[in-house]
Amino acid sequence: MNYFLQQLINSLGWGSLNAMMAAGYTMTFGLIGLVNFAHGEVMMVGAMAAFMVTVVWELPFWAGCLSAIAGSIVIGLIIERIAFKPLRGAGMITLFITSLAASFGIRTLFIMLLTDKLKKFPVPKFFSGAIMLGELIVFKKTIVILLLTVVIGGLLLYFVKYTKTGVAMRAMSYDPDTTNTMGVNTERVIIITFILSSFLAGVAALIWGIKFGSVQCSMGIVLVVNAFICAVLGGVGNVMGAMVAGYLVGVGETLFVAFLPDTLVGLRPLFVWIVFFGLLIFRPSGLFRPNIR
Amino acid sequence: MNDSRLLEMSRLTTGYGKKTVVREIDLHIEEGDIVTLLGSNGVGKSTILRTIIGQLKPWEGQLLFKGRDMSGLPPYRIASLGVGYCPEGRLIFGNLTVMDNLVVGGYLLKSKDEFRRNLQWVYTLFPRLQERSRQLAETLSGGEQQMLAIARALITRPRLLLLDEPSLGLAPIIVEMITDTLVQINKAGFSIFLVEQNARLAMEISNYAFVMENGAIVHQGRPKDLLEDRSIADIYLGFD
Repeated sequence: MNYFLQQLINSLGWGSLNAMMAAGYTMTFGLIGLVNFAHGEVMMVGAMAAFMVTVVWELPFWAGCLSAIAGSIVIGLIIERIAFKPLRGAGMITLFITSLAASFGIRTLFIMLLTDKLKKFPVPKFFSGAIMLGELIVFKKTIVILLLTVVIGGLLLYFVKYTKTGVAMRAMSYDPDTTNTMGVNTERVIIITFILSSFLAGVAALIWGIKFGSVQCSMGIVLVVNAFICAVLGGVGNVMGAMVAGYLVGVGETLFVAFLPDTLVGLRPLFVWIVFFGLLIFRPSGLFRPNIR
Repeated sequence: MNDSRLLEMSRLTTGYGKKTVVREIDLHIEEGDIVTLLGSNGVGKSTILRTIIGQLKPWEGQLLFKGRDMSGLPPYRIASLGVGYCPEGRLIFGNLTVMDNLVVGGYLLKSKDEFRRNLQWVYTLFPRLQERSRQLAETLSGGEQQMLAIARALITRPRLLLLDEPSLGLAPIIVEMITDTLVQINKAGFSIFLVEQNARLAMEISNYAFVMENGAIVHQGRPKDLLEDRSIADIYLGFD
């Protein structure tokens, strides 16, 4: 039992990471039907910005945090302008292909410039160490990550549900043309959504750095697939659904590996695909109500 | 410059892709009127409404709202000038609650107080909506969805309300109720431009009517005068 609880606690960091990436992913998926393969690179660029600022230029940690957010938002907007805006109104497949191109392009560029070697991510001493909960070990960084995710997730949910812009976003997911006739500048809402989505990826970059202690240029690939599956699992365009799904998948994946015999540990990626095909067979619309036409 | 006319459309020609749908349309709406656009299916009535709200751009001709040139403006800019739009088929946001639909409708309102005041007014026009304010719009009946679509277009108190076939697919008793409400709204000072296939209904409440055929206006006048002309009444309005 203790083993199970310990694994559960250990999985909260990975669950938070999945939840954060899924939330950002589902926002643009619901809004313009974009399956954004480049979302992982948005996170990666944020991580690299933080790395450059804290390790190369040796600025304090909070500067690294700000640059992760800024870096992700900047690259997110650049990708939107170059890859997605010219294809406004195009079908899902077209947008997906262009996001693939953006993903490859950015990843290759960064690997060329910075190499794919692991780069140390400096975490303040405050985050290291652990506290004991009876016989269970809880790392301090896990608590930080969990708190960060819950607070930001809560703010995001409030925004989407109760602010005018949040309601306009949900209306646009359903019918952008009619939303426009109500006086909503739909282009501006799209940009705001991309900024929010990229912000979340930037936070995810920080979570990754704090959890693993290192970042690398190919880190984007790992989470994009999970983010996509979690977005669908939670109901496309449903931010709360995506975050719940993110935790379910993150925790589930970790527990899956924890209870596999040692020789089969390489089967870890299989978990999300089992979840995905189960989802498509039994409940394709997702666990919660989607926000798309 | 004659800006006493609320809406003035002159020699307007437009269509979809390469196909011209309406040609050389001259029509106007005076402030405070209920004006109706009649004609059978596919004749171009919705096209004209969609051009007024900015979803379609005029290829030729002019479109003036309160004396101001509107052609080429995007829908959200035209809405901000004081035009409310209730599209054909209702097109309410099914994934949102009744209240959230109205929030989107009231997007242009600057203050929360103004929204609340207008919301109260809209609820007195359509009390059923207040009962169902937390319900998902897609679960409403056809009549309730039509009420929501009208309320959503009205909540900013627009100078001009555009309605595209509000009676379509609704039971007669609901249509009657909605018609009465439209008259009420007009008495409160709102100008209405109504596209309707149900000629009888439209003629009852309108001050002025335009009749279309094959993408052009073929008759216009006050309903009384149009009905007195037997040739028009028989062919276009189906009256005996």
